[in-house]
Amino acid sequence: MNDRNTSPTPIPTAATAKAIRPTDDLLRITDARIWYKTIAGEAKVVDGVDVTFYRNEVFGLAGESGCGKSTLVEGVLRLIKAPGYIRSGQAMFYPKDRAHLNGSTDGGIDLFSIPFAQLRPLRWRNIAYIPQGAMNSLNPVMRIEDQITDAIVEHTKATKNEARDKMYERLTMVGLPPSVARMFPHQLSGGMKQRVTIAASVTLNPDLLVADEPTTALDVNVQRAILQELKDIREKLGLTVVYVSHDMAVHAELADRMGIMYAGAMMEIGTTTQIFKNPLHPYTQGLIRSIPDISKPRVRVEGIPGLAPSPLRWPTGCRFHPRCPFAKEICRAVEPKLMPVQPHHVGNGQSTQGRQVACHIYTEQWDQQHA
Amino acid sequence: MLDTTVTQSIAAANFGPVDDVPILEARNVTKEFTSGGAGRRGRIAAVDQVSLALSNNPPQIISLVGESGSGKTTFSRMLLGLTPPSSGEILFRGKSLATLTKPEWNDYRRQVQPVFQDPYGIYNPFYRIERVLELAIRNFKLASSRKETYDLMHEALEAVDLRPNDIIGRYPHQLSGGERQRVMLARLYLLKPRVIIADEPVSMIDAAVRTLFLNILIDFKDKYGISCLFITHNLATAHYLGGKLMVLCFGRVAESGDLDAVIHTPSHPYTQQLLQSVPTIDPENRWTDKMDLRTVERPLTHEANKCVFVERCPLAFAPCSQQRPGDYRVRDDQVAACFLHDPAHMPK
Repeated sequence: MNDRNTSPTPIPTAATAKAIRPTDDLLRITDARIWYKTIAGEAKVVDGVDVTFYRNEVFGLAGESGCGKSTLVEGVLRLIKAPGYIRSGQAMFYPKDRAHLNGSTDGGIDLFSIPFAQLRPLRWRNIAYIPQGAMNSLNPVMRIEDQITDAIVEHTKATKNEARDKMYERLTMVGLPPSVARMFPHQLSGGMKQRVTIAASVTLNPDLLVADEPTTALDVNVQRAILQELKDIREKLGLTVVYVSHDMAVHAELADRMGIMYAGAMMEIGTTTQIFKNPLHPYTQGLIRSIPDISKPRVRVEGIPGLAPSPLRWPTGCRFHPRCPFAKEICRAVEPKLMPVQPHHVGNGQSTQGRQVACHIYTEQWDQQHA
Repeated sequence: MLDTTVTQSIAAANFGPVDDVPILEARNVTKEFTSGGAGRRGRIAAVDQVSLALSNNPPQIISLVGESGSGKTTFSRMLLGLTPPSSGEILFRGKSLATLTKPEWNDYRRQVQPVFQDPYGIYNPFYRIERVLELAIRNFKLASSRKETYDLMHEALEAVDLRPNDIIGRYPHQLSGGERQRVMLARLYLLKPRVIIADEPVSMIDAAVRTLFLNILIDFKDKYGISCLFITHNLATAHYLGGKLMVLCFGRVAESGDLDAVIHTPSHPYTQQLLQSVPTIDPENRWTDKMDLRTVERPLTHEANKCVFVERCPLAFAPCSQQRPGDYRVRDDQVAACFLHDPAHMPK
């Protein structure tokens, strides 16, 4: 449907893509722009995001509602519906299992531009997706086993019996008893339904599992159980999990690396420890300050003053500057790029490996001007 | 954030005579629903003999924590007079809701105000957002002229950290969830009720705006003497508010008391399990032990002569499945409904 909205930048040939591809990249998103046409103008919901997901990691995508985190992953899965469209950018995907794909895919696959016919074999086999509220989208009049085995048969050459074996194996993996297979969704609790969707999503050993707020509507005990299952599955199957959630506490439990989004752009990327122990971007700092911590004494925190901007009119310069306590002239005028962090900007001895931030405070010019 | 000089004078004027009777009280309240179709009649006590006293002197915040299905919303609906209890009674200023006269009922309506969970569902999409403020001003005769109405609306919106010019004249769909919830708080600011009953008011708004909302509730208590019953599934949010805590488990009170006491020394196994599942917010200090899923998801039974938590309780022993536990005082400010704290069963 959006095939016509292909990227204006040339798609790299297999040779050039290979040359710039580090071995452990699974999905490299560059300058992703996903806009919506509205009566009031273009809503630039995702507007210039750069991020790379590595093989075999849990990547936590965080940010407040409306920051574009769900739209970004929907774009990667090509689920954007009109009036939304992929304006520009690239999402180079390097799956391991490529035998079933048509054409040469050695140089990676640009998920933003490949035709739907080539996208379909990728889905579920290579990229699995647990959308928001997935547990409520199970078919109410089909037994769990039929829902899972039908999908396996549809996407592979497996026979019904092989598919059934696979299904039982995966149900056991997420800690569900085999009897669940014969049940209907209404007979299961919310947590069990969510585990069924997780089991179903990983039946074909995908390279990438995108989970959008999978525990948001669940009770804390059940949330904890689901997070444990996701962690186990990641270790057993060696897949990459992109975990989308506004809940920073969940990321602290699960994620290896994190990306913080704000107003359609990526503000900061780092390991979970880096983000929590030494947040660099003023927005990340505010976000971390506003998490109530049950293990610490009660202190009043002010949160982040001001309002999130509208995607119809992002602020000029840095999108966070109207709410930023450190904003200077340059922040109002020039949009900061997501750049690697220099060692002198973090505390002594702390690693800057893989750390990126989009903030003028961490640029050379700022150092010179405000030394 | 709040203009203290103006607001304090209003607060002083609004404080009524001091009394010892709790402003709102629930006494042994039970709400039963019938379940199942014909031939399979079952009765489920969504709320089972819950008592709670919310004092206004001094004002206090009580957090009611429970998982989905614990009956917390049913309980709040009874306190708001939206649904009558099956047994037990709700008292407003010491008088049962069922026996209030018309003027008393109006007073109750004014003094006990709700904030609901869904900021999207409570506004009529056809009216501009300020209508909820105008109606409050008109119905409770808070202003005598258009100018006064206008000034009051501005004051109220500023009190909840909103820019009046960004809000007035807009329609609900043009505002974010956090803004809509705060307009509801602006309405409460106008009415200055004695009690706010807030049912999961922050579960649908973002973390950064969430603390803003909670701070306003704390300010309302400190500056205007508004008590609050805060209903949530999130222990961390309850912890931020402070005050008292009541933990509901499948319709019954598992544990109640001073919030810090309950959170730091939980004495009911259910509370302990809940606290263990709260994420730590420290990536270097993650969960190491694994929770046994089979016990966590075992269905809870609701039998009159058992503890409701017995099926999932790792510490259950004989009496737990023979009778319903009473309320046992663990320390001065903490009560747990668990036989582990019954002196008769304590190890010698």
